[in-house]
Amino acid sequence: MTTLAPARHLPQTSAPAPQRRRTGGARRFLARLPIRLLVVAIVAIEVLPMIWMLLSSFKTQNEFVTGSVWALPSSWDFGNYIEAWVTGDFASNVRNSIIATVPALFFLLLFGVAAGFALEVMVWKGRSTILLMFVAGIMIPGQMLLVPLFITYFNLGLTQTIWPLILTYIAMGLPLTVFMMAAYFRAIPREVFEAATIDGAGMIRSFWLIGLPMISNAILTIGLVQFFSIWNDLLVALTFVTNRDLATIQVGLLNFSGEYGAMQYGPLFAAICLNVFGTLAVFLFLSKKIMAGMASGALKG
Amino acid sequence: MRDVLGDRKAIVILLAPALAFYTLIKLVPILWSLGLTFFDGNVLRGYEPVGFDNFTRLVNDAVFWEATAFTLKYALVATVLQVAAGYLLAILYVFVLRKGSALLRTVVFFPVILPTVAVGVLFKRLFGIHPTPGPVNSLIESFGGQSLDWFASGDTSFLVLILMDVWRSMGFFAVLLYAGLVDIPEEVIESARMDGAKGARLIRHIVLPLSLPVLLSAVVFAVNSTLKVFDSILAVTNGGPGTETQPLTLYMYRTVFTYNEYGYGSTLALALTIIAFAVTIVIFRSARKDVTADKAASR
Amino acid sequence: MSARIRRRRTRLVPALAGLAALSMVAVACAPAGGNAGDGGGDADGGATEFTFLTTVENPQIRDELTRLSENQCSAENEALPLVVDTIPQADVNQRVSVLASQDALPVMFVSPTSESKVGGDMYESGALLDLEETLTDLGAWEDVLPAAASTVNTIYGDMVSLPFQYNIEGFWYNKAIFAENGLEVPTTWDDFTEAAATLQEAGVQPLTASGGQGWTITRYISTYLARAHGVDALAQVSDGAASFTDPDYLVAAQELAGLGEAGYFGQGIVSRDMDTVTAEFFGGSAAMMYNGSWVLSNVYDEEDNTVGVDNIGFFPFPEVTGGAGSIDDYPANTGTVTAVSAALYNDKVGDWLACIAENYGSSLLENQGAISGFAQNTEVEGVEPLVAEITERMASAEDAVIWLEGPFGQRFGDAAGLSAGSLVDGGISPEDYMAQIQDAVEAE
Repeated sequence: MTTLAPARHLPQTSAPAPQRRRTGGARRFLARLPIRLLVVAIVAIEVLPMIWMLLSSFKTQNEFVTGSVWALPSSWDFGNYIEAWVTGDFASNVRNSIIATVPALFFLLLFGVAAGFALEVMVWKGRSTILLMFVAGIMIPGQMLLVPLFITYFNLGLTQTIWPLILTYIAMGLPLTVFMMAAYFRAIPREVFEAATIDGAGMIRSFWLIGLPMISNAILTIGLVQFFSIWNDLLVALTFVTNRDLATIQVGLLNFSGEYGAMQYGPLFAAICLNVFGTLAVFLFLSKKIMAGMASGALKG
Repeated sequence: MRDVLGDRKAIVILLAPALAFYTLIKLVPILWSLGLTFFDGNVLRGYEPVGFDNFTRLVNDAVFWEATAFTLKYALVATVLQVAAGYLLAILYVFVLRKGSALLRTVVFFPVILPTVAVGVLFKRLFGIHPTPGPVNSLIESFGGQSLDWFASGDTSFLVLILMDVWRSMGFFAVLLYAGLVDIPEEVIESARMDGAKGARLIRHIVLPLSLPVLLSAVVFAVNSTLKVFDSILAVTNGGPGTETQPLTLYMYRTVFTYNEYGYGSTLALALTIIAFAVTIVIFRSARKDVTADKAASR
Repeated sequence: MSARIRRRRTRLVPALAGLAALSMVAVACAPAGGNAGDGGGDADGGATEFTFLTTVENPQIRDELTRLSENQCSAENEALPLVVDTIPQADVNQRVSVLASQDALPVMFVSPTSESKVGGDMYESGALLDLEETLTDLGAWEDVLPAAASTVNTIYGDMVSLPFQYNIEGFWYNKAIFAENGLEVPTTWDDFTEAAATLQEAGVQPLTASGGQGWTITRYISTYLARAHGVDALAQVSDGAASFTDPDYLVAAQELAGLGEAGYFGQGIVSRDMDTVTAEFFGGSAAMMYNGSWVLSNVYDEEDNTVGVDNIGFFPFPEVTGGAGSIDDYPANTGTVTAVSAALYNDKVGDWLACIAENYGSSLLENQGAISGFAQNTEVEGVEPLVAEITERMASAEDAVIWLEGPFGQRFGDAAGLSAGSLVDGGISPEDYMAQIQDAVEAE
């Protein structure tokens, strides 16, 4: 997550750079000051809620509800976390979320990029109609899918499995993925692909060897966006999962709401913190590997 | 060359999986649902055809018009602010912070990954008044102002919802647009710099036209997601006070799943889809002119 | 969007419609109920598993049934094993209707409240077992408390729900605050408003309620009406004999708005959630709270209740002077409907039901300290005094007062509930509020 997309490689020979270096530390610092303040302000706006969440996860119900928002918890014991782990059956929820998200994400990106390539790079009659059809999918409210899909999955005997989640996530993520991929492909000069065809490469080969690497930034970006929308989905998971053994993390969070509108805030936020900071850690770890892989790919390309 | 770019077999292989999934799991259920606009009833009671009754009812339904007005107002304000904030951030990343932007990108993206229920509770607390005033009201009081019950009126609730949505999504749009800005070829920017274009001029005349396709996609996406805003409003105001902040999606959801009126709910969904379609086409039309004009100018 | 595209689209539409029709045929041809997992039926249509669908938010029933399956009902469990599935409360309406339409209901399930009434879709579909007849046949009808049975019958028009829960509602008050301010338990509405005024003057917030949970507010209206016009006050509205906009009905909303106008509920009621309400009351910052007997679990939770068990008391909604209702009529409910599938019923299900009816009451009280609508057939030792008091009040209850939304449909529920907070804080006038809910009555 540190690097959502690689920083652009700045030309080493850029003319203004040496000049700026000569202007000296103090003036340079002052000149950058407004930017620095701006960055600090932005970071504060974004980080404070994170701190609030962490503080909340240690509070008792009373402290949370009646105490001031930024007050420190009276004690730093992990009771809420234990409660979250046990009541929420957190480990099995995490496993289900992974089982549903990873294959869905993989196929979603693969199909989406391929379709974006076919619709934007390749030339054929009717492609704008198909693209428009995909775009239309963005506009359709997801709630309308639920009842027909539930009945279908039920009749296919899939309701006690994780399949409904995977299939629905792929289909629901496609419009945005196809649409954005087409937009990113549009930004790439056509000459690149035309040159490849002169070399005699087939289009499937061009797709793997040129198309995919060219928009690896975009794939990573959309991949992240889709990952989080699938990982955080409640609507679909709620509708297609009755079996408690198949509950995802978001469904598991419901365990902390009570029948007459009550909510166990401490354990709820403990579970959210486990989820959010856990994903964050995995991404910090993964992003380094992804970056490394992409950098080497870029050099060869 | 054109033959290879138009290779039928390759097109089928690349497009078929996406098209199959999309058609079977999205389009078919949608058409199934939309077919219900001519019926009254629900899964349990069964359906009876009612012709155009649902549409006459729609036109005369004051709640529908209230929800539509709210939805459009919300989509307009939220889209403009989200995309503008995201674009400014993306420019900040690419042209000011450059390589140092990685941490900020991550931090600003962060709210996107928070579950809606957490964000909802957070904003309710931030703007709370009772039993202890939240930070916003404390701030107002410290400047000598009067604490405000933000959720007691539709207008102030609207403000809170917009702030929440912008806070939540600006990092998302920043990253989306960033990926577009990064892909602008170096040479173009460099040659413009050589020609003496700097700062705002560089952005206005070089960067903005080149990033228009991605910007356009971001606007389309923002409009469509704000037109369909649902769970964040459910978590913060539940459409209240009364139904003053009830978007079409929430009204539709209640009609279908609480009132068990599938036919009328599908009609509401159709209305929403038509609105989204109309808005998107208007955006495309107006933007396409700009793009072609600018492209012609830059060549 | 050239003409070319437009022409394409017109050709696309029939193609897609054809596809849609095809796949619907495919779905319809698939073996219905091919997966027995949900329904758990045998060859004769009877149950092979004791499947139970309950809400995520309510662990009480499933925990107690699991306990029974390991103890008193272990023989029944062996013959027909208990399998629990859960859905969120918000999903009950949708999911249970779909399951019913696919003949895939479990043996015992949470059923949508308004649809389970006589005339409702679930009831009319014939999916719900008549429990009075069944339990009578099983010789277990005596195990159901008469008051609980009458509550179910009053609300739904038939015995459609097992009384796993039975609650009465009224005001919970802070005895210490009352004593400090020299207040007695009010028995009339005038005493009640006077007590609230005294508390407000003394700097104590007299009442608390949640705009997010509209029922905590709308109960004031329905119970006031029941005190003023008798327990059939709402029935007269649904029969068309009275209207919420009649002056003698309107007064209920006016009295409630008056409490709000005087500031008795404190600020920010529209967005106040249930947790704030309970925290305020059990933290000692609000003197009274309208709530149901289920809050007993909070009373005995030392972490929640910082004012002490001995300082919490309960009094019924006060009488309206000269009114036709009696203070001994309690607003009562039996929680969410837990129905039994008529189609899956067989002798083994019957054995389970008989075992539940016999043991549930005592087991729940002993293990969870909670009260149900089943008789306590085994003496439970060491019952807390407040629990005993509430049990006694339940036993002595004469008629059940139905909640405001009870006799009407879901649209009415939203019309009444979503604006309830605004009625208290002045965002909507009592006249407009009552007109709004009367409109909802007439729309149904």
